[in-house]
Amino acid sequence: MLQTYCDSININNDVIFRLSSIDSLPNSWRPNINVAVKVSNLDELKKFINLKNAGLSNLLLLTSENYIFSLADNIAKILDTENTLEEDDVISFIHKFNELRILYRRSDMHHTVFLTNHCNSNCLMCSQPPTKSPDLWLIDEAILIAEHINQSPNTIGFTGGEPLLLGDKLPFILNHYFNLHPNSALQVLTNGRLFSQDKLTERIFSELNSSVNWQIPLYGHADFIHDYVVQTYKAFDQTIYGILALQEHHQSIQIRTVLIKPVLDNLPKIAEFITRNLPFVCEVALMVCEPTGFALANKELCRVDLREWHDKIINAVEILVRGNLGVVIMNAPLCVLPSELWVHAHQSISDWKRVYTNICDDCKVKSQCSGLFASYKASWLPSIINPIN
Amino acid sequence: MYKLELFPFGFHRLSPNKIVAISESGDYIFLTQEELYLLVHQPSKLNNELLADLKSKYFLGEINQPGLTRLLASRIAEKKETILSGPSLHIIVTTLQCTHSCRYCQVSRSLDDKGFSMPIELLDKVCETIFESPSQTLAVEFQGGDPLLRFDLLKHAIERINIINKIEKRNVRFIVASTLHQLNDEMCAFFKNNNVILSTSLDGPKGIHNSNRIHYGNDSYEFTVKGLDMARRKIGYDSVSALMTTTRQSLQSPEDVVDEYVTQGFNEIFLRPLSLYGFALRNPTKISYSVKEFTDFYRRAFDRILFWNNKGIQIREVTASIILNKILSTFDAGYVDLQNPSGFGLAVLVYNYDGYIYPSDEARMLTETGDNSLRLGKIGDSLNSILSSNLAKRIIKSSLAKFIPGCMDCAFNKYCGPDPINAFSQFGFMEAPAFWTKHCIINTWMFEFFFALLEKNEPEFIALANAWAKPNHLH
Repeated sequence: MLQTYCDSININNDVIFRLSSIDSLPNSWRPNINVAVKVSNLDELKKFINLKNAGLSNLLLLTSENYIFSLADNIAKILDTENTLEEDDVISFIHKFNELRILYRRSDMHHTVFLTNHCNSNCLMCSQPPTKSPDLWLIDEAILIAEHINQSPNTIGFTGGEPLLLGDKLPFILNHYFNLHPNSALQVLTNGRLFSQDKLTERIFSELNSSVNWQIPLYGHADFIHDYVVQTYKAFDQTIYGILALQEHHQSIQIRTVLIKPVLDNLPKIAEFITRNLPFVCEVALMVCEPTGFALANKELCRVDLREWHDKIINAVEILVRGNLGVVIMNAPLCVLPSELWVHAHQSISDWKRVYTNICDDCKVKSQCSGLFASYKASWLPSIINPIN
Repeated sequence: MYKLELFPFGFHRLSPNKIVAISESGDYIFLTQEELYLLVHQPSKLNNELLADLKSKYFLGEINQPGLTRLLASRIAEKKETILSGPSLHIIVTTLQCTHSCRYCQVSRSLDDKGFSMPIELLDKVCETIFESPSQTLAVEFQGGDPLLRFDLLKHAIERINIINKIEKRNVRFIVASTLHQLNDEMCAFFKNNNVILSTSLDGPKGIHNSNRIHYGNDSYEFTVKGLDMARRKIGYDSVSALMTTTRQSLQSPEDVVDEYVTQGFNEIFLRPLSLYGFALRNPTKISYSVKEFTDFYRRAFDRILFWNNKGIQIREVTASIILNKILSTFDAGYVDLQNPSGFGLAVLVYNYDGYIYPSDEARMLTETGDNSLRLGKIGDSLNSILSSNLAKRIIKSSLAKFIPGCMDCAFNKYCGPDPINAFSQFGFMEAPAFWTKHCIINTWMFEFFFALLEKNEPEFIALANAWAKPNHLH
């Protein structure tokens, strides 16, 4: 996520706040949340101080101007010299490091809420490697994010780690988001394995009030292949059981897979397996591997040149389309895909991770292209990048 | 670590070194002799690629793994959907009156004969009984004779069913099987308003058609084509489909039969073998033929259909679609003729003009030859009593593929099912071993034929096969 450093005075602990301009404050302010007000000149500073004196106790001052920062006394204030913040950003101020983390940005196309750093699998290409340190604070943070988001976005994605590790707290969080943002579609990225525990499944669905799209990875058409990719014995069978449990509860399901070598070797067969056995899923997402995290340690399996796999990808998509399943291809620059598959390509790389190369300046379809992961600079490209004309 | 237990499966030799193996889910795989041997005796020696394929298709695995066991159960349940969801095809025989005396027809009566139409009170009861079925989809098909000769009964039934359905809100489809000779403007308007589809017989070009379908004036073909044109103009282009019955006369000219369908602009053709009942039995050598003669005919006709498809004319063969649906699709297309246990009496019911309910078309035709033993009950009996009658139980018992000699060892028993009515009519008892019946011999040949084509793996055929395999509601 995007982060930046700052200076601060009179703030002695971590705070989560929403950023608002002075003019938008009447629409943005709520008594139960923290609001940082962007102050850029003396006029705005006067207005801010008046508001504080009138009793708005949950306000912070945020400025990029040094002189404003030094003028305001006896108030909680932040100096953001980078000046990269936007209206309605939900920001976490980390007191210890004077760090600002942007947890939510309205202008992003994709919004992700991290629920946990723990995971019960160990995927070869994991882009968010799990940790063992206590992470219950993420739950509190998720609740606060829900409250600090101003305009409800179209979709909100929940991920981790493995969200199902939250147990009963998962429906609690999802319901909270649904209550505050009833028009936002909620998506949860999960391996589905814990849905193989009937009691947990019953508890979750007896509590869940919101409709959710469950995004579940499948990396093979047989247990030993899938289990190898996720480095966990019995994962395949548990995931299959989990998918069927979701279907029994009439849930909306997306199956996704990551285009690394062991998956690409079997892609048409995986497509066939899904079409024959899981025809009730809404869609299948083929994702280009993000070259970060564990993928760097498993380069020989994760680093692929997508152009070498065109036949298999086309074949797999054919099988899925024939089986009446929707297909989306994510994180793939258009020049790297065969043109007949462009209709399935989505601009899916989160904004703060997305870049283009110099070569892309000449490309006619740049604006529709998903671009590249910023992490490619330290690792690898999905294939040779060529401008389209 | 990963147990390799052998799951039950069947196999069928296509040629000395080519075998098709079919698992309990209905998934299939082509194997060489050596691969088959390893699968059964030394699965750990199989290469990883084949091992993964066999596991993904339920040939090998760990028995009682929770996830895959549940998945396998859903696959099997889906194949049974047609017979488990309640009778979905209801055939109403409103009248036996007909202007034709087709050579293979079991039932038609001339226009003079009285007492061969269904009384209105019985028709009303039929309309109510249909809705006792729990099936959400109800296909109501009118047969005869020629239902258009008693258009009043047809109109009455359709209107009555529509009224009941306002409350029931099922998905109701109407089909009328007719020569179309009596079609007029009033009928077309009524059919159009009520979304009624017509099904007619077209045995081939004029010569073949007229020689099979005897009509005073020797003009069956001309009037059927006239009716076809009228229906297309006044109801809709796709409002009529056609099927053909193969007789000895058709055997020499499969290409002509197919070409006739293409000329008439049909997008599907149903190549059906002859069933020898009733009047057809009186002319056995003149119109009947051996199974081999039929399959040779089918092979040539099918080649011709592929020829047209390659030229861009999209014409689909219905028998092929039924077989390919069984093999390639997870969802059963719902054809009652090929179910296990039999769809007759479970998925389809026939309400006859004589006041009785029969398990199939063939069964009510047997009555016309004097055999009344295949009656499930009377019109007016509750559906529950019909479906739990002794005859119904006997039909089910004699069509559970896993227990019938022949079926229980057949590789295709995941797709196919015996036809006890056919067995009864050919041999006099339902429990006759399936492999004696024409039904089995022809269907076995069909599965072999299509598996051999699938094994060739030609992309154009695979694409076509998958398109044809889609169950109707997805077409």
